[in-house]
This record gives sequence, C-alpha cells and structure tokens, in this order.
Amino acid sequence: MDTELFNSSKDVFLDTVNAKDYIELDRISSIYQSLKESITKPLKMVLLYGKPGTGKSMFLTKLYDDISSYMPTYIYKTPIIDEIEFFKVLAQDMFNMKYDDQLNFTQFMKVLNSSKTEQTPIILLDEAQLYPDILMEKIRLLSDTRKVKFVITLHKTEKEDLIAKEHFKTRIWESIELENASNFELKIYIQKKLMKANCFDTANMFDEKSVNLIHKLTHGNYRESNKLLYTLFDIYESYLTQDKHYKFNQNKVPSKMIEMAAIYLGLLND
Amino acid sequence: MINTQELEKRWFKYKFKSYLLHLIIFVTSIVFILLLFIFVGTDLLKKPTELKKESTNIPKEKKIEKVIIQKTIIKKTPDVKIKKLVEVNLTSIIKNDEKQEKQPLIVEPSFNFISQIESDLAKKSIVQNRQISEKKDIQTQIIEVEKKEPKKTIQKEIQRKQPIQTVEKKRKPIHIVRQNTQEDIKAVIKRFEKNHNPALSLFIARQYYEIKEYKKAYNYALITNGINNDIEESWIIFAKSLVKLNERTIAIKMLKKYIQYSNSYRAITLLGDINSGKFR
Repeated sequence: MDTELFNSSKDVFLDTVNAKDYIELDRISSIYQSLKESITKPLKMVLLYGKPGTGKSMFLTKLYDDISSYMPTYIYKTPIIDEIEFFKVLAQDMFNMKYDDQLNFTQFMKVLNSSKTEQTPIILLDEAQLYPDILMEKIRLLSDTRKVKFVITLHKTEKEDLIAKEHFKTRIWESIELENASNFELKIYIQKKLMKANCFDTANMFDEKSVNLIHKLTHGNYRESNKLLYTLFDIYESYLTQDKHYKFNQNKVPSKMIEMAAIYLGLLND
Repeated sequence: MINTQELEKRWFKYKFKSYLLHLIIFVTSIVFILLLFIFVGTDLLKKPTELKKESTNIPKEKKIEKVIIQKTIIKKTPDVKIKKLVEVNLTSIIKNDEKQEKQPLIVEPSFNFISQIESDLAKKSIVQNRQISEKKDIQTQIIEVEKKEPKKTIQKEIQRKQPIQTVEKKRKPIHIVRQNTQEDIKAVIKRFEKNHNPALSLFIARQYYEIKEYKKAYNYALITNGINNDIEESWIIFAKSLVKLNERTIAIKMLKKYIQYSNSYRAITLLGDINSGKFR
C-alpha cells in the first residue's frame, strides 16, 4: 500500500453530491424505487424528509439523473429565496421564456395554465425548509393546478415538520423518510464506495469491529461517515508521507486510527 | 497534510482520560460495595451472633432435681426401726431471669435453689453423698446414713429414664424412694410464671412428660414453643405428648412442619419412629 492508494481512497469520501457516487443499498434502493414509481402517478407533491446527511440531496440528484432523459424535470439544489426570481427562473427553464421585467405569481400562473405540455413537468426542490412561508404557500397553489409536480426535500426538525403540516398536509401524495445507515448498511456502503473506485485493498481493511466503531461515532450518518473516512485516509497518507517505511496493519483499520480521525474532526474530545 | 505527531498526543490524552474514567467508576463501585458490606453486612452478621449467644445460653440451663432417699435402718433389736427420710435437693444453677424482659432468651443462674439446698442439707446430718450421673441432664446424689446396724437396706428410685439403682453397702440393700415431684414442679411453675423463661417451661414440660402427665407436658411444650420456637427438645416433647394423647396425626403434621423449618435430626428420627409404630 502506498500514498497514492490512500489518496484515492480519501477522494472517494469527498463530500460531494454526484449521482455517479450513488451507492445502492437494499433498503435505499427500495425507497428509491417507490419514489420513482410515485413520480409516474398523478400526484401533486412528494415530500422527501430526513435528518441532515441521510442522503436526501443524493436521492434528488439521482432521481433527476434517472428521469430527466424521458421526463421534463428541473432540479433546484440551491433554494431561490426571492419570489420574483423564483418564478422567472421557472418560466425560463420550463417554457424557455426570458423575462427582463418582473414576473409575479399571478403572471406565472397565467403562463402555466396556458401551457400545453404532453407530460407534466417535475420540479425538484432541495432544502425546501429555506423557502419563505409565503413562497411555499404559492408553490402549494401551483401544485393544485396539476400543471406541475413538485418533489421537495426537507430536513426533519420540529420546525420543518410544522412547515410540512401547514403547507403540504392535504397535498402531499407521498412522503418518504430517509434514515441513517445501520451498521451492516454502513459496512456495505464503505466497501462498495471504495471498490467502485478500485480501492480493493483499503476496502478489505474494514472489518466489523472498525465499522461498528465508525457507526458509533457517526451514528450511521452518511455525511459524517464520509467526513470521518476522508480524515482517516488523510491520516494514513500523512503517516506515509512523513515516513515511507511506516508499517501498519494492512488487514484492518486499528481503532486508534479511527479515534484519531474522530478527535481531529471533533467527534471525540481529547 | 495532518500533523500526526500532534494528533497522536491528543489521542494518548483522550485514551488516558477514557481509562481514568473507567478507573474512577471501578474504584467508586468497589468503595460503594465495601461500604454497603460494612453497613448492611455487619447488621446481618450481628443477628446470627445474637442467636448463637442465645443458643449457647440455653443448654447451660440445668435442671432442678430432687431425689428423695428413703433409708431404713434396722437395729440389732428387731423392735426398733429407725426410718429416716432424707431429702436431698440437687439443684443445678438456673439462670437469673431479671434481664429476660429485654433479652428473653438470656438466662442466668438462680441462687434461690442453692440456698434451698443449703438449708435442706443443714437439716440433715450423717449423710454421705454419692453422685450418680447419667448423660448430661440427670444428676443424683446419694447420701448414706451412718451405719450402726448390721442390716441396712437402701432403696433408690430416680425419676425419668434413669434406671433404678441399688447400692449395697456392707451387704445391706438401700432403697431410695422418690417423692414430692409434684411439689418441685409447682415451685418451678411459680418461677416460670414470674419470668416466663422458656428454659423453665421446657423443664416443666419434660418433668410432666416423665411422670406421664402428657396433657400438661403438651401444654408446657406448647408454651415453650410460643416463647421460643427454636428449642428442639420442646418440639420433641410436644410431638411425643401428642402421640401419647392419641393425637398421632397432629403430631406427625407438626413434626413435618418443624422438620421443614429446622431440618432437625432428632425430629426426623422421632417422625420415623412414630410412622413405623416404634413410638406409641
């Protein structure tokens, strides 16, 4: 094992949202399948919710990647908080209309109602909890026209639950909750992710004990686990950079290394 | 690049802290257990020692025995017969029961009986003592009267299981006759009524059983059990008396309960004897 291998392994766990990095796990795959099926049904809205780092953005990105080729789909990963800007962007993307002047909700509704499309366009809104309440109310009214479908993601907090209740209670056709990974799922996730990048040697280093420790530290949260694993391989790389003959166990990840990574990230207090 | 040396130092610090925490928890638990043992354990230990004291005190109690010796002296002259009755009280030390109200089973010797013995002995002269002992609980003292006549017969009868013993001296038989048992029991009953000492009630029960007054023996054994239900002999007398009173079923039932409670060997043996018909 050399520095390069650890460098490659480290990059696998960079915190990026890329549909290509999507890892198929049994439970997640079935949830994703049900989400895909719900899109084809005459729905008004689909709510995707869960704690931060449970893979909501990845789900949305993967969905966009999968259906955008045969369905008019528009994804907004960054919330457009300004109302006029929001409708202008939608009109431009959906109907190729460029508005130099302001476009308000009423005007956009008129455009939407007059539009004749074969398939109902699907709008994917990430981080919907950041949208203002008034705008969320208008999104709700847009979905009532059945001229457009919304798939929105929300963080699962008390506040966001309230938003969901108030705005989407009667309109959500389906709500899907995403959860943290179990110990077994986390092991599969780590190994699949590494093997996907041809890092077989490092993938084999993760035994049950080391995965359990990682799970204990990150609670199975994908984002936290990615950060911890990135730091772990960074530490390995640093050791080898400082001493090329540094000897370490190639069959397992010692608890010491994982704990050091956790201390570095502040997951453990020294 | 991460400074691994610095990170290792932090890791050692973290490990030390985590072990220290475990050590503190371990030491605290040990101290807690020890304290618990000291406070709770000593209380538990106290009880058995108290019981031991009680149990060791009970056997110390000795029985009051009164042996009446009748001595007939036949003089050379056939008309003259001197008949002397010698009463000898052999009284053992009985516990003093003044403190019994607080500690019901701790008994101390009673000196009343000793004084009684002394007074009795003072009245009688020319008596030679002879001790006959059987097992632990029976003591008799035989006193010989000086022999002026060629023929002397001494008859001796001793209450309880003790076999009748005849002592011959200079080929003259001595007959010892036992008397006044009831009076002695009454004296002990009076003492018992004052202090409710279970040792006394046990003695009374034993005496009544010996003189075959089974109903009274049963009653006093029952009283003894009421005061202290750990006295084995009392249960034995209780059961035996019941059998004698034709209450065999109740006796078996009570014995079984007592065996279950104490696992007494004597009780088991007696139960076996009752069941087999050995004891009737």
